[in-house]
Amino acid sequence: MTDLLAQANSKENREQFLNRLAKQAGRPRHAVKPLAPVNDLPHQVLADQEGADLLATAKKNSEAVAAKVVVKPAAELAAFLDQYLKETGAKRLILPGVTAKRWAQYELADWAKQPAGVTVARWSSDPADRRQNAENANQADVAVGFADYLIAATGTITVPTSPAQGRAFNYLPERYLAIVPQSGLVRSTRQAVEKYEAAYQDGLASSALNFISGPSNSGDIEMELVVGVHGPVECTYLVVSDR
Amino acid sequence: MGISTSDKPFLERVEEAKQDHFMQAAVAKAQDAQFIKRTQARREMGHWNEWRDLAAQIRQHVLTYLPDYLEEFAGNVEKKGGHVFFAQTEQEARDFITQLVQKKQAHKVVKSKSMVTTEIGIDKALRALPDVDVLESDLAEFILQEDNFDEPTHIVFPTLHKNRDQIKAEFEKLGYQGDNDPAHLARFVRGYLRDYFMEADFGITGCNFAIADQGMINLDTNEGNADITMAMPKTQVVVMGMERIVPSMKEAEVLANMLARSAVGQKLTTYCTFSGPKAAGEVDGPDDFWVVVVDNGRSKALGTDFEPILRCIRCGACLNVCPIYRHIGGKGYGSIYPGPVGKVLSPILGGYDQFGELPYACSLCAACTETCPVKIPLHELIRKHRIVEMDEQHRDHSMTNLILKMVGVGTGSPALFKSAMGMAHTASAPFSKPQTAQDVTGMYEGGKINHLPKAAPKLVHGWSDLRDIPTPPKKKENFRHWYKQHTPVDTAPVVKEREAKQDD
Repeated sequence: MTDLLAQANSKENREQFLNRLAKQAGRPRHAVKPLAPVNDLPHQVLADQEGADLLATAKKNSEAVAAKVVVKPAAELAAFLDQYLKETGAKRLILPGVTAKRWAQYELADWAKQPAGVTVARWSSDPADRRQNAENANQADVAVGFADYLIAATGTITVPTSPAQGRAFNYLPERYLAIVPQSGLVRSTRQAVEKYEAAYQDGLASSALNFISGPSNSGDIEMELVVGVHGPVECTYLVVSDR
Repeated sequence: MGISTSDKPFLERVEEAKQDHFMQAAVAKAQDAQFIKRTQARREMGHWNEWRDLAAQIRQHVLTYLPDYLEEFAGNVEKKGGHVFFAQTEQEARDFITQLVQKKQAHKVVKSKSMVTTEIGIDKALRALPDVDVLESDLAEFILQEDNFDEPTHIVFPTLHKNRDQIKAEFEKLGYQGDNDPAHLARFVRGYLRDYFMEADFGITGCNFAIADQGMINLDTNEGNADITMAMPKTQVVVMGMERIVPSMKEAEVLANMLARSAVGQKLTTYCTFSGPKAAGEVDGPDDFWVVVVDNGRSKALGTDFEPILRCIRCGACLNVCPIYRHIGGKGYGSIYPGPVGKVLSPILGGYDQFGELPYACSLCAACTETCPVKIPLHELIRKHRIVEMDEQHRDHSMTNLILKMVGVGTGSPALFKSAMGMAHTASAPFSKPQTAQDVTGMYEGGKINHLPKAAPKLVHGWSDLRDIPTPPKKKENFRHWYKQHTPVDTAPVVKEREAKQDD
């Protein structure tokens, strides 16, 4: 058998394929004109809303996808999280491997040092800890992480993968709680995407942008909605009203 | 291998499907439920037809410049440390991935749902390797796999034809001991697959949209399995149909919204992820990121009347409105792509020899065209297939051609037509039966024809086998005769005017 792997990323493999397409289509290559959209609908989504109205819409749409939405000022976060852990009966908690400064932005520096009543694992940014991170996330009853934006139109939070908060962190724990600043409230997926495009332009190095709308679910068995399949079975957005 | 799911002839498959009453009830229930959810989600979005214009424009734009966008995408994946392989055939795609699994010495392969991986038959090829396990992680695909690779019936709901008791029975073989509650069944799979995920060393995913300018892929899912497939294994292979590309995340975002609303009536799928190879400093995700771009016959549509079918975003809305699909379900089509999209796509990918009958499994009602979020003129393309099959390839060797020529001559000449009308009643009398008490009133006073001898031509059987034809009336009772005898009344406007005057 020919060694096909060696052909990946090779000019021959690519050119032969693309030339064949161009020939079949009867259109020359390298004549691309930029897309000029026929309308501006993506920018008009919820364009008439802002502030409290927009937050109310975000809440309504988030709850429609079975996400819980809690709005608190930073000063009340620690007490809320303690209560949340107690109510869920969590024994194991996983936290992102961020600096104390990052927690301090939400007045959570003290809380994050040692949350009460739970065993805490922290996501390690040491590549040697890949396995350990995954185990920790797999065993975690609750993950408390950070999200950038809350999208009102779809009830979605956005979470970029980072060295401090990896992919398994977002998908393996039983329950998932994301802290999102209210200043990150945006109207539409388009708005969020444009912010990330700008961030990539400015050097953001995240390998994955996760747009998450509520807990995992499936309708595969007789189309009956089941909440909680492979990803988290419960999902909470903790919106920080003064950040 | 390939897109075929059955060796049986088309009519035999249809007969089988007609016996499957659970499937029919399930499909009908799904279609009706999805109609409500889909319509609601689209209304809520507002300006639905303008959104369709935008989505169609995006998809057509990338098809027009397909080689350029693929080149840009490949270059950007490469820049991020990934690898791209262009596979012209399913065989090449399959062999490539097989070689990669061997080179990586992978033992536990995990897959997330993807139509194109089913198309290239990768599961079987990898299972044939020594010491390699392959597990489908999407709940529905997992159920099909555990039931000895049962055929899917729907591109979005592959297990529509199974009930909870059948699924429970399959899971009991794996050690499940609970009841038939879908929530409990799903929770069992979560645990079963989680253990496997933790050990998986090779992930295979599909791709909803490839982002040309970022060298990333977009995946839209609900269960979370695709994201875990992109998190745990050190090697990820993305298999993408070559047309599955957009210029930037902006267009992907538009299509992701359209897809979720059209497929399941959601605003967005639970997980809408833009992903690429692991970046410097990150701890998990694929160290090795490979993309296999598959043609496998798609290019045959490029530059032809069939090109719009490549706009398809696999939402399955056309299946959910199709009256034929409602009755014969996915298996009747014998292709992994059933329903209206399958009637257009299957003959292109698999050829007319195997799928030439599918374009005829259609009443040309155009419900599919109306619902399509990327405005593919599905019913027109189905009809175009018929034109190619009949006029260009002359595939029909029955008497149909000759009969229709005779019909053409007969209806083209007033004298011949008149004498045919005169003889119709007498000529059909031997096959005619009197109406019965069960018949609809007003239809069969002159008798009906519901059975024709086997020797009658195929064309005529097509008219009589599935319905009762009213016996043609006697010469003295036919429309033309009646019309000649009848005294014309004034036309509606004239009557109205007269009545108005009388009122004055």
